[in-house]
Amino acid sequence: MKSQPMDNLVYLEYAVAGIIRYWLINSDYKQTIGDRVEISTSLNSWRKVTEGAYLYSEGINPYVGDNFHETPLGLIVFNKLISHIPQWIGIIFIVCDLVTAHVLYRTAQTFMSELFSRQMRKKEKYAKGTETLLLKQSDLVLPPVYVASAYLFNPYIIFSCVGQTTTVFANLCLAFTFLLMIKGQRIACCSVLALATLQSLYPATLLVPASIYLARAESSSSLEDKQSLRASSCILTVVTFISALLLLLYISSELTGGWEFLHATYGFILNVPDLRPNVGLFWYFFTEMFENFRLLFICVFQINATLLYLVPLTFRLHDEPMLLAASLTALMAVFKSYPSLGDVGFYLALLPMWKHLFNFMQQGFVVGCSFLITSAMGPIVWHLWIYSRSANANFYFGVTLAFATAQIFLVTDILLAYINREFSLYHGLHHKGSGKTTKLVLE
Amino acid sequence: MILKEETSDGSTKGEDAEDNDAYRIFAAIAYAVVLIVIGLPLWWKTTDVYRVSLPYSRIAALDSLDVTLGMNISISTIDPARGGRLVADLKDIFKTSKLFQLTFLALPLEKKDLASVHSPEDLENASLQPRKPGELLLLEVPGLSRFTANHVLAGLKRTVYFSSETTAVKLSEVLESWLLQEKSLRQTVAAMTAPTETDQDRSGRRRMPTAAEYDIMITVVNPEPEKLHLNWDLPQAVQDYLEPLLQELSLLAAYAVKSQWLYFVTLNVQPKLVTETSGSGYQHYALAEDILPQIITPLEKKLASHVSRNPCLNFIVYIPPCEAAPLHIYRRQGMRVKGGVDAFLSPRWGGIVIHNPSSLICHNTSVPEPKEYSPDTAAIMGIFLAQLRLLMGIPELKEISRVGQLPLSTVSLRQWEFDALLRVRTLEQLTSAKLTLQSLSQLLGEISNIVINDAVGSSIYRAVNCVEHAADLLKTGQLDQAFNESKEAFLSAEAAFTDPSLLALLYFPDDQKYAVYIPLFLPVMIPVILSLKSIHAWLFGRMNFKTKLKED
Repeated sequence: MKSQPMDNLVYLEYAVAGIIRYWLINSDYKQTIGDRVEISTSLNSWRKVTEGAYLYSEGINPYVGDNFHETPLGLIVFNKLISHIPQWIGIIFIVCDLVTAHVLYRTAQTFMSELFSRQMRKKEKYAKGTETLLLKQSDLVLPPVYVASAYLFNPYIIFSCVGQTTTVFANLCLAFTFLLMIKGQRIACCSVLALATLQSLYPATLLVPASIYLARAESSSSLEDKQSLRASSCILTVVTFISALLLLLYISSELTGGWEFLHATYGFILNVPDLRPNVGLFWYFFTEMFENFRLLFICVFQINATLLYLVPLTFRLHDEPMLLAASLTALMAVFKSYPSLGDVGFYLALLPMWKHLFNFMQQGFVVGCSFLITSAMGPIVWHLWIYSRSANANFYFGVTLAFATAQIFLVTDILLAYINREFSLYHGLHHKGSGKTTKLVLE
Repeated sequence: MILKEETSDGSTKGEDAEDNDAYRIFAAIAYAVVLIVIGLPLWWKTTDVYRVSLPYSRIAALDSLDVTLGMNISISTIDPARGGRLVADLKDIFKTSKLFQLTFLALPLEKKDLASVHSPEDLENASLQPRKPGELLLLEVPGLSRFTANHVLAGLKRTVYFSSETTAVKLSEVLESWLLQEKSLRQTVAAMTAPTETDQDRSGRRRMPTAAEYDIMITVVNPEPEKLHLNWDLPQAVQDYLEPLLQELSLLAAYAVKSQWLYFVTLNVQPKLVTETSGSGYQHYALAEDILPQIITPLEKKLASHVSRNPCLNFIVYIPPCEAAPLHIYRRQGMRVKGGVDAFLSPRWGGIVIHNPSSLICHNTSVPEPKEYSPDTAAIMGIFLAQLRLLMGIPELKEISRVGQLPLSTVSLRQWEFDALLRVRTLEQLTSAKLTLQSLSQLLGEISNIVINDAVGSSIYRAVNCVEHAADLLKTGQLDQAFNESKEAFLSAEAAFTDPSLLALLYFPDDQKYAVYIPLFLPVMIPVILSLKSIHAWLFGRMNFKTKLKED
């Protein structure tokens, strides 16, 4: 199943990517990269972690002040790292990044084989003349390599790793969630998802695709009544996740002797008190709104980030939980309260799994150009605003808004390409409906 | 509901399409549910203006609140029949009073109370003096003509002594214009409620506006300090002379006394040089009465008296330099002010005393400059005390024939004067609180955008309660408690009216709010509203289909 030359290629890629990261971490650019607002936010900056660890080692509760927003588990682990093996911390970040890439590689491999087997099962339902659309065995080899490369050589991810942001660990947990989800291991998947949710609240939405996968894995292996089996499996998944999360919260409270960390972590994510600019959309709105409407807008923005797209997307993509999970991850990276480029790079790495959809994408060029231009303009406008004082916040927010719009276009394009492909598979490449060739477009 | 039969073999494409349709509609319904069912109540709840409910009806009822001052006046005569007649007569005269509800009592008088009395001053210490503020005793003193030519003598505490020939009319005159001052009270209230129609009377125009605390600033102006050096312990003088009066007035308000010295400041007017016609060739300078107002404004610029929020009384002592001394004030008729006191008062502002350095020191050329001079503390402070009395609202009394007052010796205020002052201030504060509350309730009722937080709400409630309580206390004649309640009402009403938190959302009218919402939310709602149509069509299609199946 796995071809040896591909594996060797991937190991070579790991080596090259590791060397690049190692060189950057030990160069003069490390501090510059780590200080950029696009890379490190208040939630994932390593500087805040060191401050919190120092306070903790002095016996002061780091959650009492307004500065530290890591989870207590992270606090303990990082404290041990900083105090005992400080010279190995860069290596640890690089190793975690490489492990994440490998996990994504394995996930992509499993997903491609699952795609292929599902296609085999549904082959009879497809219309005539759609053989060109179908996946072939040779198509299954390259996408996982592309996924690993997209993760290893994505500048966003490289900078995120070199800047030593804790997004590296968050991405690691997310990648493991994807892998365990697709492998169908309930307890492990729920535990890792609980760990990811503990760190930043938003991965809780991935519970839905995870429960779909786990239910499907269970019901495919048995021949009983599928409906009730799936319902019970879902409930079991939810219960496992909640209990894992509660257990982690309890352990965290025991480690810090109290529940103040909730206010510093979840309260911080939900209330958005820190309005330092980042690549997100929250800070600009909240700097200019009246106090009276703050609660309304916080609720609106958080519902937008979590709840609003979850249910409709689930309805549309219940057949394709992996695409659902990737879309949710993408929407999370755009709409969360403190996004960073590490989150963006993660879901970009997942995209090559749907290489067969790239033919149906209609806005690829626009999206690609937008990404390039906004990524280049962001630091320029930042410099103009903060250092040259000839621009203002509107410029930077405009660039960030264009970046977010490009990402949203990307997500909607992929989804539309998926729907297009499904439509074409079921109704033929040129569907003659009322005598005209129809094509689905987004309106 | 999330999971469905994925691919059960044997299902047709048509069913798949229908299920896909169903899922599409469910997705649209989910959007609509989140936006409308969760969003709209959320928006409504989080953006309503916080307003505490206010007692609007009670505030409106304050208009018709009748404020009458109840008072007990006891009359003691030797002959009980005469006392009864006096009571009946006085009751008759005062039954038309709109503001006062006077209860006249005839107290029997024991001869022995008057036996050991040698003068009216002794009676002041007798036990029959009323102690409660607001009460009065009219005491017949037979043989009053031994002590004074007047028929009626107003005492230092709350007693009026009258002789045996005094009629009820004379007594009522004394009560009306000296002790009760009903006309002045009514005019004060009328001037506050309808300022365009009525004006304050003379003593009301002079009286400082009501406040909880006053600043008193005493300034000594010495235009040429290099030539004349003043040897004066001003703080000690204040302590000796002003403190007793301020102590007595402390029930009314708190006082913060400050003093300062100003050098190189002149009066900026040119007094005329006048040679005395008596032949001694003695020259002095004359300040005409009509240029006195021009002195105040340039001086006031240098006084720095507006550093606090309390009303300030300014008392200024001007010591003319030796070349410009002595300086006297001339009245309009061309005569000098009686009594040799060169001082004048500005209503609601303060007073200025011109204290000339003694000619011995000025004309003594053997003394080198700067010449030392100690001002006459008693004279200056005496004038300040008189001016302070007038400014605080103790009026000059109209002359009534054969009516006099016992002279003040140590006590700075007669107690009936203090009672009258309490009455005026109580009514002023009540009226002011009432007007403030009414205008505030009208404002808050009309503009729905004003935030009313808990502090403002409780202030308003406290003010209304205090006003009603004060009116009750006034009616039963408990003057000092009524004054305290009215002060509390006045301060609470002012605090509620000037609270800055009221303005939090004032300049954010409703249409601006919608102008903020619509560009943000309308583009989101349009697809949802449009999809409602297709949802509706699909739902009805399903129901029709099901009923069709049933019929078949």
